[in-house]
Amino acid sequence: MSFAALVDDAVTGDGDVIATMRKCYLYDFDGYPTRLWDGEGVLYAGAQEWLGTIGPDGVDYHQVANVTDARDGSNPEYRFGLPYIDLATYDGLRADQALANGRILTCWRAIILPTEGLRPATALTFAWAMTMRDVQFSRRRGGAPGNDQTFYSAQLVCRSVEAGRARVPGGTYTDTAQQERARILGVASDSFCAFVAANARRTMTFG
Amino acid sequence: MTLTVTVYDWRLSLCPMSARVEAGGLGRAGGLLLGGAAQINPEPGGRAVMHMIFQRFWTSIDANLDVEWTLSRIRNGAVMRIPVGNRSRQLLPTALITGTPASYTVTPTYIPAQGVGAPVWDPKLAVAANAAKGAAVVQVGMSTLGSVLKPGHVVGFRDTGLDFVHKVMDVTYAGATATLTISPPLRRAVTTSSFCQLRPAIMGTCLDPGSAAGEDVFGKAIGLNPLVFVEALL
Repeated sequence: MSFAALVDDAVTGDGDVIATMRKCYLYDFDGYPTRLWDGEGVLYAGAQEWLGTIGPDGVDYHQVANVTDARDGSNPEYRFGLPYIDLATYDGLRADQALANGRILTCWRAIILPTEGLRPATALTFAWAMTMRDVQFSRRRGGAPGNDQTFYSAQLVCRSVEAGRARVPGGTYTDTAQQERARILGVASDSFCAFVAANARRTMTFG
Repeated sequence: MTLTVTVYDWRLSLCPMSARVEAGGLGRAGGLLLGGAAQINPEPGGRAVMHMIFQRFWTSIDANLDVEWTLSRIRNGAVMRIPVGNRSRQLLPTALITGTPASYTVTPTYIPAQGVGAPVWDPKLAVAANAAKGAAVVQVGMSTLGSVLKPGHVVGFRDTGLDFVHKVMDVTYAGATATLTISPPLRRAVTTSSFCQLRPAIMGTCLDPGSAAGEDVFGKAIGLNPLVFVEALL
């Protein structure tokens, strides 16, 4: 069933929202997959346990970037962070930051019906995926005089798969070049770029 | 990194005048109706919350020391185990608990630290069907009690020394089996060898320990301001 159909089923005719939609985040660190969701407690979905990031004070301690549609060609840097971590965690994350580079951050949507508690029966729906590009750490002093504290936080810088699309590709799309690239990579392709030349200076109309 | 949390026991001398348990949860923006109208996106889980109101101050020296200990103990997010008072209107009334469940007594783990040691009445209902962690529906056997458990009552489950409190949101009966819809959902799996406590306890952290100290009477006696405890997820 599609996501829209699931929502349709979960919403009654008189407009009462009886289903909840929450997001599940998988930080696929090398060897340390970390699963979070924006709620309280442990969510059991997709045969996995997801840790809730909302504290007892109702604050979501997981800083999530507002991910936008990448189809317009824009490719902003998204920052995901865990502020207010303790020193031991901060040092541990700094030592292991290589485990994040190039790894994938994936977001799914979960639909939870009222009687399901924290065990949604419907499958998770893919929302987006990002590549982790950088880990940044900050340590700052704050708070009122006499009551100042040191705050440790960690941030991940992520880009979508659209990253680098604006760059000039390191090659030309000719049939010869494509066949050579296929040979180097050991890929058996079908028709390579045999039709590219025919498309040059041609006006194509869609729709 | 494993963090082991110590659960401290609430001093029984500091019995609240009122202990009211609520199912927690915070609706968040982002829900949409089919027509497109924005709506609050309800929290599927939430945490149990207990509001407690105390007498103005205690007169006995021991109780006053207990207040002083508690004021310092509840800081820094320390987890307290607090029984929901026997008098609370949210619990199944004592008069309705007759027969087999009522004969069940245990000595709670929090007694020896305070040198009290008397067994505490701990009526329980047997769980009728297995339910997994995170489930919001649980079945209990009512034994000979009849259909007395109602929406609004507070029940609990105990697992390996940890106490969890739940609000009954809906009940349906089939013979002697009650199907309860509870909030927050189960924190631990229950089996048919588990019990549902009719005199539960909450494990929680104080929301505002800085303003917990109440009236200080001439340095001799002290009270506690109303306190709010939010369930700790252990």
